[in-house]
Amino acid sequence: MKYSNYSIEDFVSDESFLSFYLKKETKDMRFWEAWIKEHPEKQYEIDAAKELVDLLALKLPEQKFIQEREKIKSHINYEQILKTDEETSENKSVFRTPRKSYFNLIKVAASIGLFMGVAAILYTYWNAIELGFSQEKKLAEISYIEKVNPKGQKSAFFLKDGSKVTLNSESSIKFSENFGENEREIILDGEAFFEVAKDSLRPFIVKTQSLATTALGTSFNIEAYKKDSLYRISLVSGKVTVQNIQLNQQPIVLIPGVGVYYNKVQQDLSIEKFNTREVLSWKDGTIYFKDATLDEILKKLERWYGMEFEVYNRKKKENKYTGEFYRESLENVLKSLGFAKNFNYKIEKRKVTIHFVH
Amino acid sequence: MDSSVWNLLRASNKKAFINIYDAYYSDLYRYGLKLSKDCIQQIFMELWDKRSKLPEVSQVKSYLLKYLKRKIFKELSSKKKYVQDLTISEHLDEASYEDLLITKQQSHEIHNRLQRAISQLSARQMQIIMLKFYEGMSYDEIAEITHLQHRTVYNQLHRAVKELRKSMFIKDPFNLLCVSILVIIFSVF
Repeated sequence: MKYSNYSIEDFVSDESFLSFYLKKETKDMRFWEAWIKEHPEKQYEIDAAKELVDLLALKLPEQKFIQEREKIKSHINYEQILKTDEETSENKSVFRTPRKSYFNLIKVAASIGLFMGVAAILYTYWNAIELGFSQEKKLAEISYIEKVNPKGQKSAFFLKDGSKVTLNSESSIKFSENFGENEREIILDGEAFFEVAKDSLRPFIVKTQSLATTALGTSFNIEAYKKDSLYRISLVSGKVTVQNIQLNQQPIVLIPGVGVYYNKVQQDLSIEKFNTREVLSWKDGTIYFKDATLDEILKKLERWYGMEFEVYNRKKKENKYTGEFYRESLENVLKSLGFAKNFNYKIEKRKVTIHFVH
Repeated sequence: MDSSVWNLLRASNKKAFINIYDAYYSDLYRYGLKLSKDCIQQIFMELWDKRSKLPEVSQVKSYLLKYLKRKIFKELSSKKKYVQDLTISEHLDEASYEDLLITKQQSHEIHNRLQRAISQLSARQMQIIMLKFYEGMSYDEIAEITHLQHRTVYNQLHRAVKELRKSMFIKDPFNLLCVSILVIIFSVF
């Protein structure tokens, strides 16, 4: 094929290549995406050609464009269509190289943050539904991968770019099949700890409803259960920005040790120093309570153990509770709590009944 | 991109909407550069909100550009800014396009290399480059405007891009060193 002998300037002068890179015609986009994957030996020329076109066409840098695009997508409530596929993503071969700036020979260092010694149980479960769509023009299909943890289950896994996600119970994350190629975007409902591999050309963005947390190479915890009204984002290392994309506010920059509380009802973000133990203990199997109300305790236990709680004879005035349990059984936790807060309990198959004693 | 996608948008097709966004964003962006970003967002949000009331359009790009011009103008006049910015002109001439290319570079080094590279080009080449990458025209369209043959336009563009490529890309320093050493050795003889 003539393209295999193409020089950088040949690509730049080629109308179909330009149509692909400037996203004009879907047929060109499809052709070139496939061709580029099949010809890794031309990656240098392709990348250099793209840089030259960026320069001449006065293009907005890709990551900025993606940020703008995300805002529009959330404005129209853009839900991606999921594909039915028994295949897992490991079976698909995806060619992807980090884009180097050839002008300055800047190398992008991808560093994998291996933080924990604890080996979590890898629990993957692919959730996909295929919806057919009929249109005159064949528009680009996007398929998503979703990882869901039910109550009582935690998991950890690596993403294609080397980033590590530790997912708490009753939590789910969703990301495109092409994650890592042009963008690194994750949609989270629940709680997860992220250790992000460095890639300054593709910011790592975690979306939790109206908030977008952007990181370049760092580790942070996000607690954002859709059912809850308070979200918490805590930065452990590196740097992230948090932004309310729905309100299009200025992003807040976090430094290690600093976190952000987001009140969903009032829609405001406040900056707070956080207690690392309190925020991260879930990862190594510790349930941590600090000045927790009974409701907070029960909610956490429900998620952690996957049980339903029923409470009888609650006291009018309840004291706050501080304590921690390292890899304890539900039985032991309830025993301690019951002793401290003065209640009896009964554990059944899916339910725990609590009776306060006055 | 043809008007069938536009009609899909009018029929509330979200994928079509995003496709239009992707296809025309860069055209809109370079019209006003920094000024455009917020205006472009507003335009697309309005476009979506009013999608069922949109007219039939044959040239999506010019429709969007006109929309953007109006928006930017409103934006600037409401802020009492004098519309002096050279980026807001309807059409750039080659000199302003050159200025834009060079001033957009943050790195001093690239700045210089680019300036040097551009100075090597002929006026004709500069014009063709601008028509292709700034105005986004096809070879046929450029041929019409410049009264040149399609083939000639292609060759001129290709030659110009090659010159730019040579000036812009530093080869591997190690390679460069080897080559320089060889050149020195050879020149001694």
